[in-house]
Amino acid sequence: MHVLRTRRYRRAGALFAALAALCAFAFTDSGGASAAGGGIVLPHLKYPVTNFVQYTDGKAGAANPKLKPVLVGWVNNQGGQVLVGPTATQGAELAAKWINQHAGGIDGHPIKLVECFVQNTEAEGTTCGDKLAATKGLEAIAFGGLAVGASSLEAVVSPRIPIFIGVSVNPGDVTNPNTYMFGGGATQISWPYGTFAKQVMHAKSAASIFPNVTGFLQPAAAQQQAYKAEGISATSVGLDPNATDYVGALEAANVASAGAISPNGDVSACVEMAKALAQLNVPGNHVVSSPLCLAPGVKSALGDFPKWYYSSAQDNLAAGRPEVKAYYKLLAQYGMSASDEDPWFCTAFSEIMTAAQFMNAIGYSKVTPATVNQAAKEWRGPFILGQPNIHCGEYAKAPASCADQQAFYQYKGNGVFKLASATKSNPTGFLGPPPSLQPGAS
Amino acid sequence: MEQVALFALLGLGGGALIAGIALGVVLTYRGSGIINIGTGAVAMLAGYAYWSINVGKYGGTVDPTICFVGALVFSALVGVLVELVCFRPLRTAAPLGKLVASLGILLLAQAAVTLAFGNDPQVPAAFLPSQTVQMLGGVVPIENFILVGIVVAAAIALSAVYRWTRFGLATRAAAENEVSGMLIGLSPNTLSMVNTVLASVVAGALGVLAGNITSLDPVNLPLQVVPALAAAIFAGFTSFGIACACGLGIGVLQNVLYYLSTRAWFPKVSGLPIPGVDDLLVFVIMAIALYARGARLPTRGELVERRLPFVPKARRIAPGAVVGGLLCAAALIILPYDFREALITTLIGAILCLSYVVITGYVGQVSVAQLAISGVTGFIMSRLAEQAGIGFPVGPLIGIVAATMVGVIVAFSALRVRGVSLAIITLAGAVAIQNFWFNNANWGEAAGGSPVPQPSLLGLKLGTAAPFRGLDGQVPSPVFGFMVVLFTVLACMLVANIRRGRLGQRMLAVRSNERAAAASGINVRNVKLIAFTIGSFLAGVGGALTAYNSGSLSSAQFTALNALGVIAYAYVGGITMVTGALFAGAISADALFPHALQVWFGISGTWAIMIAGFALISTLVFSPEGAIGTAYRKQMERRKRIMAGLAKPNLMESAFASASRGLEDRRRGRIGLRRP
Repeated sequence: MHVLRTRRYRRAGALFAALAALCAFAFTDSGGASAAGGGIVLPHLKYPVTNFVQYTDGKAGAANPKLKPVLVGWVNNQGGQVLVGPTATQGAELAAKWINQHAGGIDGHPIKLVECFVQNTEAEGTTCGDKLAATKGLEAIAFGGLAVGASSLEAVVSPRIPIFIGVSVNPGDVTNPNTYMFGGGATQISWPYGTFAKQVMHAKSAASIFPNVTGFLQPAAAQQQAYKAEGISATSVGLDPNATDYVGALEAANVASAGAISPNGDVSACVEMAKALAQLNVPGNHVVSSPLCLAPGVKSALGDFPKWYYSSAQDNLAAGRPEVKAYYKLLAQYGMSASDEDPWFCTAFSEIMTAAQFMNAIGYSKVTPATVNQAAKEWRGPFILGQPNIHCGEYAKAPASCADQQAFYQYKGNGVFKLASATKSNPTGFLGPPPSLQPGAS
Repeated sequence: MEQVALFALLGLGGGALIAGIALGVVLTYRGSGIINIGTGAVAMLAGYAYWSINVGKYGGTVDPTICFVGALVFSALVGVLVELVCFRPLRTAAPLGKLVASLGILLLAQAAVTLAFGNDPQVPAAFLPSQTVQMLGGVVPIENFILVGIVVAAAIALSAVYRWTRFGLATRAAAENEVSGMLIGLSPNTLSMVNTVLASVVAGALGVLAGNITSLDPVNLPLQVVPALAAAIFAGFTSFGIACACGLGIGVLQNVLYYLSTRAWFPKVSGLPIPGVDDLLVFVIMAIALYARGARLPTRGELVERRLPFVPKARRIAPGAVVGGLLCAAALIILPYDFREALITTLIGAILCLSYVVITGYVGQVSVAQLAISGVTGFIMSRLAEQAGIGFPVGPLIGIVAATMVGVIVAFSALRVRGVSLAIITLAGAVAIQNFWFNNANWGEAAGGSPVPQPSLLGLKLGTAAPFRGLDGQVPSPVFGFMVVLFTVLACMLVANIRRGRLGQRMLAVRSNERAAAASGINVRNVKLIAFTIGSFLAGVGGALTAYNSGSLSSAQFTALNALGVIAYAYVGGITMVTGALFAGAISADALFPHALQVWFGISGTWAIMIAGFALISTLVFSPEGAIGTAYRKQMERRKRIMAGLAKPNLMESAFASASRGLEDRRRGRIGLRRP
């Protein structure tokens, strides 16, 4: 009897030990990811970038389709009720196609996008995150216009896989680890509005109108901060998210007397604000908008874009500049013209081109998420069709923000944009934040 | 003061749109007893009809007046279709079922427009003059006055029709007592049809006329039904005049607040005016008005008594829970990562729906605020983790307690308001929580996002990134799934046991008849408070698990439309049963059923919404007790038939046997008598 009990205890003990071992395996981490090694030599390029093959650090010619592809994740809001950057995916796909056909891919290996689209709900971001995390050999992820699902996706893939964002529309992106916003964080790229309002619009007072939705609060608050930093009195009015009539909000913001009016919002809000501003007879040259109002939906609804000033972290609207000419030439190769694309297209194109640069600089055999992350950290620009100076992590409170400059264009109608912020001393037209908001300022 | 007057005038345009949709809501309710959440969607459909005819989508460009008439005819046809397909079959369904069905109309309309015309907004040719007039130191669009005139005229005309015409009196009579109405020769079906068509035409007309002050897209116009419902509830779903005045008042309030928000004394967050004040004000005024009035919707005389589905007692709870839990645990290990994620989403959705089983299924109260309550837990968890370093398990516990407290506050509304009125006021509460709390960078979604760190206890990782990754070695970890399974099993057992115990019996008594329950010594108030406390606790648990599953929270997860979606899933699954909640979890967004549709049939996005809307209406029409409720009823009927079938021969047999025995006994007796 005693022997039997002892055996039973032993069996139970063995079972317990096995369970404990299983639990230890199941619940505890076996170790973190190894840090990237150094020795990544990124190409030193002159601004502006006109040689796109050189930008990708590749070799002229086609990639070998028989070789194993290099995988990059691509996520965008499309296919459902949520739509931010509808043409971003086309821009990313064009970049991948061009790299494979003309820039030798990644050391001869074709670059391939693993696409996942968030259509309606935040939970779809988790599903996309799971999918990308499960994709073997995925080296990086790039976002298009991802307002819904971004945070959930980041919670799954970060910090293991680096994330590249052209223009962020999700507040959480800016503090997410190993995330790089090439065009700058929402706050940082809203600060140049103050500089532009003072230097070019010569405004004494400013008005900022925004929907009371989290994604738009950050830029609106930053605009207010920037106007005040430049000594411009500013009024901000938050719109009810379901508001229909914008006239009241615009009147409350004193748009009639404001020298600089910044409307923030999605495509519907842009259309409604344009209608209401026209009804109030506000001159177009008093309005300075984000490129969100340059979406094709605005043009199709109103017949043409409103004749306002538009900010852009990229310079694809400056048709006369050499890098833009090269870009338009590239578009023409694929039967596209400048009018076929919107800023999201260009941003997405530039993101994938930059990812290719990192991976070519690392070399195919050494490409891992960790080395790509290291390359992104060390990168100092220039950003193709974008800002000359890049410094990710320059702002301690916004570690993912890589830039803080914007160029400003005046829309003249019929697809013609004029670079409004350029001066003799600053031909690129990129303006930075007011001095008191720049890094290192007290 | 002049400025306040100016902004009051500026708010008249938007207010007129809200008032017009509110008139449509009241009309539909008076005619058919349905609170039509799809009224704004009908306005949108009319707007698209006007625009598409005008711009020449079906031929050459057409004159705006003809387009307007065409849009009204189209609205009337939509009304006929909605009445025949949805409202008439549901005439005897429970009010909540009707409410959910109208959500199906909203989803179908949105999806149809998106598929036909895309998501981008359209700008229809202005039907009303778009000039402005200088007054009170500002610029006011003339159309504001015209729209107000039209809406007020419509309200007066409708009031007159309902007061003095035979049709109006008949509608009122049928609404008061449907049976008596039928006895004097009135046809409730005809009256309902006429009212629904009228409502569609009124909403459609406003959808076209207000085209210059609202964007024509699949989202904005349909959601105007939310403030319109507030106006309709002030009007008791009866008075056209009050509905019109309240609709205009909401528009005015919104615009006056725009002005006040620019004042130095107005509270600010990060230098910007605090968001959601208008939604909070509407909710507070509505709550005070209804509490003071102790109002409920006017009782309609019913042809058939409308009840929620019956509530069967769960049997063999423990074995079912153990087997179900083990099956889920095994599935979490075996399933590929995407179905594992869908299973986790299913189980979390089931917990959220279980809160409805207690509140609605057992006690008959309808709260739309459960999703917002779950969000309270999530945002508090995020804040505690980010700002105070308080994580698992203290963070979620505090969050759940806070959510439960919010639920108890909601419960106080339920002490005076019930039924669909409670649904509407809790909907307003959910909107206020989302816009005032979750959109606030100081309390809700932070400027840098609202991450929720992975849970761990004594060094053991319990989150989606735990090292054990199932057979495919991918995230999410089954370890997190095990935790979700454990909580789901416990929640199911709790809810099932409540039904079996005395508390459950009291709840059902309250659901059945509050006065009778009170007369039999049941403390109705306490029962309601307990039900809301348990329901909110469950919603809090669901919120905590959602937060851990997504790893980050966004206020967009808790919109009014999503909240209505959750209650719709719960109703379609079977709102009175634990198994119904589990089924509801499986059909909810991104859960097993939609995921399988996407993976196996490629159905997702707008098509999925279209199918969801269609499924919602058809399920309610053909299975008004919900999918599981109907299956259970059919099973019971089959069992009864079998029993009855078995009982007949048994009776015959037993009768035959006893007769035979008697005969035998008698025979034996006779024999016996003869034997000696």
